[in-house]
Amino acid sequence: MSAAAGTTNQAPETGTAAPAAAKQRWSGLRRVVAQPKGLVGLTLVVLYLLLAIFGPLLAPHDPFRQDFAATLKAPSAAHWFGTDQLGRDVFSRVLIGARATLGVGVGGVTFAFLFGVPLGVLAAWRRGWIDALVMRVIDVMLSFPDIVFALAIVAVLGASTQNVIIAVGVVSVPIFARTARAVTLSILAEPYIEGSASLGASPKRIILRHVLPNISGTLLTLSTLLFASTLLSASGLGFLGLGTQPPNPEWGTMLGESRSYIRSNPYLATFPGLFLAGSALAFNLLGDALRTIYDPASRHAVRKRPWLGALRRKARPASRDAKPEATTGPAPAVSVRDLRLAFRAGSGLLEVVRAVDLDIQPGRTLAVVGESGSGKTTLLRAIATLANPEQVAVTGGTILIGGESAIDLTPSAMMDLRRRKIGVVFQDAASALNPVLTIGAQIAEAVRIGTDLDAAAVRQRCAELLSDVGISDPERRLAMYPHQFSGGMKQRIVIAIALAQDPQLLLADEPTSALDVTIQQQILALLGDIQRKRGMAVLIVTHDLNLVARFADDVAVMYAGAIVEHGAVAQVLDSPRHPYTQALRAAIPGGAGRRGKPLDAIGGEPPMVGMLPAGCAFRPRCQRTHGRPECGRAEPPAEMVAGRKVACFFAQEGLS
Amino acid sequence: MFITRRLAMAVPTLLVVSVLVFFFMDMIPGDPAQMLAGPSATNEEIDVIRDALGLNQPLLTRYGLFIKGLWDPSVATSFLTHRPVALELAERLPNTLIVAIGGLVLGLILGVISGVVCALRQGGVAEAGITVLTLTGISMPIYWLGLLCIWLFAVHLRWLPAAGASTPAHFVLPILVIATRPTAMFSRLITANLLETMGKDYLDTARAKGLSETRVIVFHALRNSLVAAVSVAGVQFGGMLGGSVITETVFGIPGVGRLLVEAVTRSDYPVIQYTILMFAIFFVLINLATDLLTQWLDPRTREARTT
Repeated sequence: MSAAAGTTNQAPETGTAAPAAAKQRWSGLRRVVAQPKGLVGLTLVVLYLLLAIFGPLLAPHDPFRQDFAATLKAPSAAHWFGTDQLGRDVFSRVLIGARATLGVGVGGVTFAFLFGVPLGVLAAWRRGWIDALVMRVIDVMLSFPDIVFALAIVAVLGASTQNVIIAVGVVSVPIFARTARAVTLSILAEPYIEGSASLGASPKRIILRHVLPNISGTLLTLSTLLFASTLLSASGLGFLGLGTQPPNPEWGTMLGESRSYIRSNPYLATFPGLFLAGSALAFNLLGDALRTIYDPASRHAVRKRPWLGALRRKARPASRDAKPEATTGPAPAVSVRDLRLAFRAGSGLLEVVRAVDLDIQPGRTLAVVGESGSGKTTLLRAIATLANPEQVAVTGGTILIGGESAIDLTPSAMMDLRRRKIGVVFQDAASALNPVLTIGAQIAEAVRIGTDLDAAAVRQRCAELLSDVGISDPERRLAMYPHQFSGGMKQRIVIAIALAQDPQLLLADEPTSALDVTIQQQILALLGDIQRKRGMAVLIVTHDLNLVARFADDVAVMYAGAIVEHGAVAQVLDSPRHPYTQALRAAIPGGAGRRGKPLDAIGGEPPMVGMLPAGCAFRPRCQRTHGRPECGRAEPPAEMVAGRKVACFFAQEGLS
Repeated sequence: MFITRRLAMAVPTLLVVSVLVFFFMDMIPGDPAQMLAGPSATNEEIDVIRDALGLNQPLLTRYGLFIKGLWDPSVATSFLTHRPVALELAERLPNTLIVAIGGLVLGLILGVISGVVCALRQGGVAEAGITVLTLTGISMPIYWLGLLCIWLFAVHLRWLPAAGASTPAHFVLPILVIATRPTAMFSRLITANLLETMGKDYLDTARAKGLSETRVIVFHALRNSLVAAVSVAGVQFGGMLGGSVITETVFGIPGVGRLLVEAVTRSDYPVIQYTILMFAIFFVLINLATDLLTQWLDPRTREARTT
């Protein structure tokens, strides 16, 4: 069930992977209409095009007939948009003007497309001197402000509708050429193109079959957006009196004429401008909608909800009746009781962390292990108070850090808690450091907050932190930027930042999975060393059992958001009691320092969040259940078995 | 080192630009000397003018003269006013620059604020409002918006003067109007950029330090968007200098753009040539400055880059 759901819910995210088919074009249209701005834009564009085609037929008056008895009249029943300085009907002139105005836009974009695209494709295809020449020409053409360039062309050719089309077209040629060149280059670099070429496909065939269909989306987007700006520049020339010549109506020209009467008759400027702005808006809306579909870079602009597509079913309502157990002895560095976390999805809450209990005493290390999607990272982020409240809801339970609650805090209390007690080390050190700030600035920021050290003392402390994490020559390195360090060094810097405020709890989210094996060892040794010196509690999230064996004191195995086995590392890993832990353990060749891939060896797939099977979540993949009804009836509670907590009805089985 | 290479790259571009602008003169249908002399001039008069303009000299010499006109005002004079083109330009340039720089700065401020609001309040009323406004902003013909503003603020409310450039108040409307496009551009850019940045781990690193959300956004997220904003600012500034041909017509500002439009309508070729050349030089310099600033702001590209 879960496996099937996993495949059906995967939306195809192929941007340039396959050549476009006719079917895909219709799906493009459907995706445009699915967006509100796409629907509005497309409707308006169609209306405007209809206006350009049928406008002259609809005009109630002769747009050229002058009537000096009725000049500069306000809108009335006879003249809906009023009359102009020569007594002509403005409504009729606007309708007729649509053809000239939009025609200039269409003509200009077509001109630019026909010259620019072949030029760009040619440059990308032939490379060498042709490419160099085209790029230089583009450089030169882009050295003129576009409207000034168009103005210069009109100055040479004379003012007329046709010359305006040429002028605004020429101005857009370099934009088309540059874009076509860039996208063609990226398509040509795709492995499947190289594949076709090596199979002996002719250049013409590659261009026609592979390149053009794949760049068409980008070019369509660009054409639409350029249409809007071309329309505005062309009408701008008209406004300056250099476009369509009177008495022919064009919206820009009409605006230019209305300028002299803005004091006495503002209506004259209102309507042509409204139509002009509306048409530019229509094309911009449509272009924007197209861009979200065809431009991979702008996909970021669309709100990302990665799990939305994959997760559908509503989570079961979670109770909020947390009962913290009375604890005795020293307060643990972190204490989590019955914690429930849920993703906020469109359809409701999807529970990802289900009734998790854990404690870490100062100086101890707890490793949380589990497959991707088991909820371990969400758990860590919630403890770090870094879970985004817009995405993750705490639906029950408590988190105490050094005895203080980490849930439902005011912003200032949360900042205070983060500053005093928590340090976080992320999986990917490269993205955990701000690329545009020196590492000195980034460490100093952590050192400075909440203290009143002077600049020299802050610098001194930063240097100490760097040497604590084993970075030599710290004074000089403080002035360097993240990209100047290797991956292992970056992770050391991230650790230095985490340590800057002497945290009681260090949270590490797969701190070594992005590093190569030797560096992993160094980073782990460093973390262990620092922990011993400072007596911090460490919570480390990982899927690497070898790491757990060497580094952690305790281990909690997570499956589908719940802890299924939790105890001392020696006990849990040497003689696992939960069938999932056993499967994980069996998937790794003991002691052979390579990272195993437990997923491959465990049958079935991890369940989708919010689509858990009834009863024990592991039941569909379990080797031990043998279809016994208990497993399907209820979720097994965690009980003490052989010195650790196990959530399995049959944990005693096979116990010697 | 990068600076020198980048400067060296700009020189050939400028050279080609100057050649292109120069040849506009030759491409123009008709004889400039005849146009200058007027319809009633005799052939001798035209020859004298032709000689004075250097039109009888070989092509290369004329190009040399054209280039010489860049620093020697006596070579290049307006057909219309017979004053040095350099003087005409110098008188009008401040007006153009005030409007363009004012519009850019205002657009940058408003755009960044609305972009941040839009990114932080996703899905809310503010986001919807700002999205509609920015799309309208980039679709708005500024000559129409200008006319509407003149009607509202100058004619109807009588708060501001309608046309001219004699007092600071004259610049308020043009700057407000010209700022719409950069505001919309910056707003969209900052929103897209921030949304992309918001998911980055380094913001969580900053939050984990106990920094306030404001500081996280301003110092870490926005700092990264700045690089992109600077390159857009360069393009927008160039666009606004070019757009001055329209703005200055709408608001009747005696600036370089207005000068160019008048020169085009009256076929004052030396003015057209040198004005366009000046715009092109400005454009190349702005691109150069933008490139250098982007380089400097982004440490990743600060070292040897190979383009």
